[in-house]
Amino acid sequence: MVSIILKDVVVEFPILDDKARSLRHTFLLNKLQALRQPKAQSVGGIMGRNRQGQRLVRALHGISVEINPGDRVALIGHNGSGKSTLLRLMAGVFQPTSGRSRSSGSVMPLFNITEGISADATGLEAIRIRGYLLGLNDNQINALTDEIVEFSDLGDYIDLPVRTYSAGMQVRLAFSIVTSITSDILLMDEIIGAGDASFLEMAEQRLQSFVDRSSIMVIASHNSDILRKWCNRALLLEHGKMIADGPVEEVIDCYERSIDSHK
Amino acid sequence: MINQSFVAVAEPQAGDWVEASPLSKAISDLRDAVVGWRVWFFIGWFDVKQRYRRSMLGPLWMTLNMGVQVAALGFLMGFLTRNITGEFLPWVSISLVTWNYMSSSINDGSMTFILNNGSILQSSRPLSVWVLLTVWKNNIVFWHSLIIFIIFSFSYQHFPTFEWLLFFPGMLLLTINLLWMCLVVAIISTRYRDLPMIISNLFTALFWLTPIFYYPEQMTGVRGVMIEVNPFTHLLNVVRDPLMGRGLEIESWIISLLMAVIGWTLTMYLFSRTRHKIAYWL
Repeated sequence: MVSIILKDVVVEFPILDDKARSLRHTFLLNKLQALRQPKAQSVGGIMGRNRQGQRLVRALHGISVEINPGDRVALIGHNGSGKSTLLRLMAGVFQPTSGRSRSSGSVMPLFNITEGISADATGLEAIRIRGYLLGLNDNQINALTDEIVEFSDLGDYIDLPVRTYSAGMQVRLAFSIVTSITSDILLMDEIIGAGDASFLEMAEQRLQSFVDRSSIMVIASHNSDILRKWCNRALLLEHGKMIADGPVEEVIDCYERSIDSHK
Repeated sequence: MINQSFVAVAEPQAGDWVEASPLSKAISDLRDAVVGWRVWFFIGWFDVKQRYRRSMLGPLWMTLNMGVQVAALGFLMGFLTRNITGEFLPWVSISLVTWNYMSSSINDGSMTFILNNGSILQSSRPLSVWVLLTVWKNNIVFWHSLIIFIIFSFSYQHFPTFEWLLFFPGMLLLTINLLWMCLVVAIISTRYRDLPMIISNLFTALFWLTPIFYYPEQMTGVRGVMIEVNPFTHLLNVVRDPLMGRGLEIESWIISLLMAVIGWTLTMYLFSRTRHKIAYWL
């Protein structure tokens, strides 16, 4: 069964700044550094140090959640509240520092839709490269190519290097490729930037059917209109902790009230 | 519409949390990367081709570069080391081509995860994909440069024999060794950013300790020992000696085989301990 299950998940990032990364510091200087008390801050995760005195950021703390088929989940929270980290954890990029996380089903992470599209590749080569990166084989790519070319509406530009495309055209191409594939779990981080009005209209329809085909969607965004329209459930994060989980309207209202009360 | 086949996390259906051991995860990372060869195979070709796109010779520039290097250095070094027989330029060309394959695989290897951080942070694709891509790209360069060896061999009447067939298992053994070396330096360099610089300096020094512009038997005493303890001497031998009519040097084959076995064992241990941390180090 398709699902995402997280149990008591903690994610801590070691801060490997230039000093900590170098061998010289690991073996000689880190021992000499005095431990400093962490300061309070309003954005980001909680900072601290581990037993070796290395700086850590606790990006996620004690997250337990179960996401089931049919769930359209919005991730809401301030900058640095852990939304992207949570998405990457669900995508399997990060392993939890402690706790368990499991995503069952085929996962399509869309964090950077232009991934793998080199400026020197022609449109057709870009489709092929991106297809391979998405785990498709030649037959599948060939089967999809015509449809991608048609939807992207790039015409003869598809034979030219991506370098010659405008920013909007590049997004059209990338968007057409990724939305041509169906997967069980869709993970999105603030999708669609450039693109003109006529494309956005088409894109919305296509995105809608793309989202409908997947059984779970998790999206992080600051656009509450989109979230209200697409989602039926929302998780509110603050400093890496999940402080609310419920129907999308209620959680967004709760979040907006908390912003107003800070003003 | 096509159903996506790339399964990020495939776990047993039962509700219990059966976690695979770190070692078996590391092994399946490697296996998945080999099975999904299309990604690195195609991207590797594409990267090499696009470097020479819009140039008239295309990838043959790699061949020409090597030719100029061998001709210039070979003539000079042949004079300085008094190696002026007809064998010398074929010797220098195969040695240099193989050396470049080894040193640039490992030098590029140290930047493998660092340069591909965008893709690594994007999905749970196997990390070994990027290591295979790095070695594959250098492999493509190797075959293009090898043309130079053929040209010099033929022009000095050094013709193929059946012995040349031993070159292929030698090349395979070398590549298997380079893959683990590349993976090790990729891991450690991501954590410790000094390593790429250390490696590039190390290889500048090792270049002169490897019999490229001289024959191993010309070095005696301490210098001879230094060449013998240099692992790249032996890796070079298994590829070069069959082509130079020097037969099967058993000692080099055994050392290379042992390096492959021990190297891969230690590498898998390191990889299983660090695989889940690499994304955090980027």
